[in-house]
Amino acid sequence: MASCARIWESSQCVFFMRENEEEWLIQDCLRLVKGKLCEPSTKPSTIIKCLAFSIFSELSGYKAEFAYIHAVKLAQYGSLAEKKMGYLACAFLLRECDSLSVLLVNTIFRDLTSKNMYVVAMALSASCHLVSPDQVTVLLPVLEEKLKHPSEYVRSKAVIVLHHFCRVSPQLCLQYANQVKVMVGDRDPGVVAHVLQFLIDVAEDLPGVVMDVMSALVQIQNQILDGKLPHEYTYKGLHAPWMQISIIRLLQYLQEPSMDIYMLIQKTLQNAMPQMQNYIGSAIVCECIATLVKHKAGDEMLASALLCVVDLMGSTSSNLRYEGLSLLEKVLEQYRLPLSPAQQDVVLSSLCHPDQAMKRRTLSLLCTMAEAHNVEIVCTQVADYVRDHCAHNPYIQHDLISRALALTDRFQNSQTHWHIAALIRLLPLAQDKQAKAIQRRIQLTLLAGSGNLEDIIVARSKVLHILAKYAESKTVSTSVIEVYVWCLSQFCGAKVDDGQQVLEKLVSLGCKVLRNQEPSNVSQGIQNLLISIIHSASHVAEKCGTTISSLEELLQEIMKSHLADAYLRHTCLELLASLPHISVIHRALQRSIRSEKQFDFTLSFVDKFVCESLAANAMPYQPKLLHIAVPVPEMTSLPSDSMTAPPDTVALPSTCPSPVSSGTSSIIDFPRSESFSSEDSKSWSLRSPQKEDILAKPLWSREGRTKNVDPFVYVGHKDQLAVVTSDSEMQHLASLLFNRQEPGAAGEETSQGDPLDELLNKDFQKLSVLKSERS
Amino acid sequence: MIKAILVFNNHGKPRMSKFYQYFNEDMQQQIIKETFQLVSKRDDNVCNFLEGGSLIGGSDYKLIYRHYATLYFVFCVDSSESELGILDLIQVFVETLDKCFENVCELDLIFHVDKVHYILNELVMGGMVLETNMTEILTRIEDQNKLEKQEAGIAAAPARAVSAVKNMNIPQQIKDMKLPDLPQAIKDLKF
Repeated sequence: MASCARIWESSQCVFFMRENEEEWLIQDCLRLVKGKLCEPSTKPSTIIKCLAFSIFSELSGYKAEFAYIHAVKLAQYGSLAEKKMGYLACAFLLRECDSLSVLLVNTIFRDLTSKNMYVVAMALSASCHLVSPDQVTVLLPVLEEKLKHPSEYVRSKAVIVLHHFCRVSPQLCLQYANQVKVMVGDRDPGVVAHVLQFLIDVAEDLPGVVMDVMSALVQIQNQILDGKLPHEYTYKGLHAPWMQISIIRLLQYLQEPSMDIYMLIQKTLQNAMPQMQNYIGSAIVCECIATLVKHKAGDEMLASALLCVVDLMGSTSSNLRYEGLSLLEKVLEQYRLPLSPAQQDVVLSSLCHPDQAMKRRTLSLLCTMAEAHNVEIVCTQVADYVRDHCAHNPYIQHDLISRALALTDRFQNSQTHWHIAALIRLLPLAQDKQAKAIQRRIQLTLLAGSGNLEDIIVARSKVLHILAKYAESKTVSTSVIEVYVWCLSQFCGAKVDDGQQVLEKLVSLGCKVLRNQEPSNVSQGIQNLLISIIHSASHVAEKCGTTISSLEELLQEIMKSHLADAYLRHTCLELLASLPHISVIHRALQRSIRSEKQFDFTLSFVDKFVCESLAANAMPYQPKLLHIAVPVPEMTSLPSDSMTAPPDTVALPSTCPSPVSSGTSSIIDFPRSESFSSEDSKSWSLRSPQKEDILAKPLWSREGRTKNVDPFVYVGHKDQLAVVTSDSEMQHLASLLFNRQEPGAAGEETSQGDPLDELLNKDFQKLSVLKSERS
Repeated sequence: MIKAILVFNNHGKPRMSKFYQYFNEDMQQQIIKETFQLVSKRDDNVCNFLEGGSLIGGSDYKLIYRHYATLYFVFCVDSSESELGILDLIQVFVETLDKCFENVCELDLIFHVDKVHYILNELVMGGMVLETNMTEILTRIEDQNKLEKQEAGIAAAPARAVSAVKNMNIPQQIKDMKLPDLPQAIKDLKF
């Protein structure tokens, strides 16, 4: 008893202690607890308290593995109170994949057949945490029986467990959907509410099941609106609001709603509108409007719905305003409606709001409603937001950049080339696949964009200037430099002098890369950049029929400093081997352009040479994919953290056979654009990296709490949140976004500058992602 | 679906956590830390919705939170949940805790971690909302408590009897037994 009292006193003291004292105290208490649990004569009430402390200590980050088996025993053999604690502790401490969880499956099965409904309920709750997908089949038959249990408490939980099992093992459990569907007519509204949640989840996979219950849903909704449910289902003046939300959401799955359905939604909307000042009332309103918009309701229906959207947007509550912006986005996805000046003001003020979540929501809205006249400013705003606020959130980054890319595709302008400027802005902000996609867009636009040739040539020249200047900035990403070297090689003149000039630039870049790379940590981005430089040099040498001596020296240097990178070394060796014959290659390529011969891309004419070389134990050529699939052990590992990997990270391809060793005569095609990939487009400096001043001292990082920091000091971000946008900036934004005239500019046409010229005058350091503070 | 429910104080100390999707222990701690970092730097007059962080986030997930005095209540949900509905659900949870503990404070979450979980288990189960009515939740908790006490009363009877017998020292009690005084005449009887 004394030790239990000590443990609980210690819990209280933990509240006030510093980290190292807390750790000492909790570890000490855990030793006590462990001793208590090991004693055979310990009372169940003491075991319960010990397990409660174990939960507390694991919550605080201190493991209590010794307690797991006691939790299992308590769940298996205890009384009602003991079993409850045992199941709770098991659900918290164990995972479904743990070996101890397997011991509980039989206990759960046995408890599911208990006559005590609370024991059944406990077992049902535990099933959601402790039953692995492959054990689901064991419980399904008894679970099906519980769907018909006399107690609504058990039936509700059984529906939820089946819902959970459908998520983890859909192929096994979706067949029970019909049994659940029938429960829409259950006598208890609480059970019906859970059935509705289940139907929402299975609606995509089993639309037929949902269609079957539509008439029942309409009846239920009418009964709810008529106040026929027991009074305990009323919350903040609304009858069963969460059920109403579920029903209205399910109505979205109707193919062709009848007028009765529209009337029902309208009735629900009218019923909820007086309660819009409550969150739950607004939630019902939002759901109704979303459903009306989904079904493209007529003007009359939509008019009253749009009034609610305007009310939400104009609300003083940030949450309701946020929801209003989300709703407006859904409306504008389906209907192209102009915004009134008041609504435009709301959008503008949300865009300039210090709350980043509001700003992000507004950016999504602007991307949806972008038109040709404002798409450029929208993409600029997106790029600025991604740069400033998305360094640690790859999901938002990916989503916003995707939206901006879609806009550049949709609103390309062959006269202003704004889309190229936007792509260059977005390139350093994108990761992996997105960065590659942006590079390809830039390349395709410059190679064969729409519009006349003169405009494209002018655009190429401007882009080259921009990229040359960008490559000189302190923080430039490898993906940008890759596009730069590609442009250099593609758009240089064909004369020898031109070629040599470009080769010198490429060699100079390559030397800078080698000088500035960290020998112990060569990133994939640097390797890809070097490959790009080599390929570009090869292209220029072949095009112009010339080479320079420093190119060979660079290639030798690269090979020396990248002994572990077989593909890079092969690439260097290829170019080294071809340089002595460059003029021959150049002439052969010139002839091939002029003549109309068919080429043997299978290279069958070298088969004999290859076979003879292999017979003499020469190493076969390894294509790039094979290098990636079979990594050399000495290679440095990829720097990208799997936890922050963007959502569309591509799995490594399976090993592909070398075209030579496989005996086939096919070539694995590596288009030139493949070499401009950047799997790690973090910013990289051509000059010595300089430390940035840390403005705020964070408390937490991935590695844990910062040591020696006063716990009562908050992160200083709050002071930085108050971004004040001046009136003139707002008015300028308004003029760009909504074609409004700025004060003082009445009667004058605003002339818009060339986007590429504007980009050329930018400070390129500010276009890249800022390094955030890390402890 | 609700992916996780987290409660931590103004200094980032976790006071309750429930994950409805598998994460190992280290990842859970990192998620708590990252969520605290995201949530703590927001003013009180901004909206209560956040895109999820890089660990628990995803294009489909949001963090919906409310700040009460020294505690943050954070629900991580996917797009199938109504954001405003979840805001009110957090309110229901806090009101239920308040009713159970009478002016709930952070110490109650520390001292009664099991009770808090029992209440939460009546509100959310398997990532789905189980009950939204505070009265109903409290009734269930009370019914179970009564049943447990009853069971403890009946089940403890044999145990009490056994312990009572053990405590009895029969030989000594026999020795200590005092017989009543018999009248002198009976004593003087001779056979």
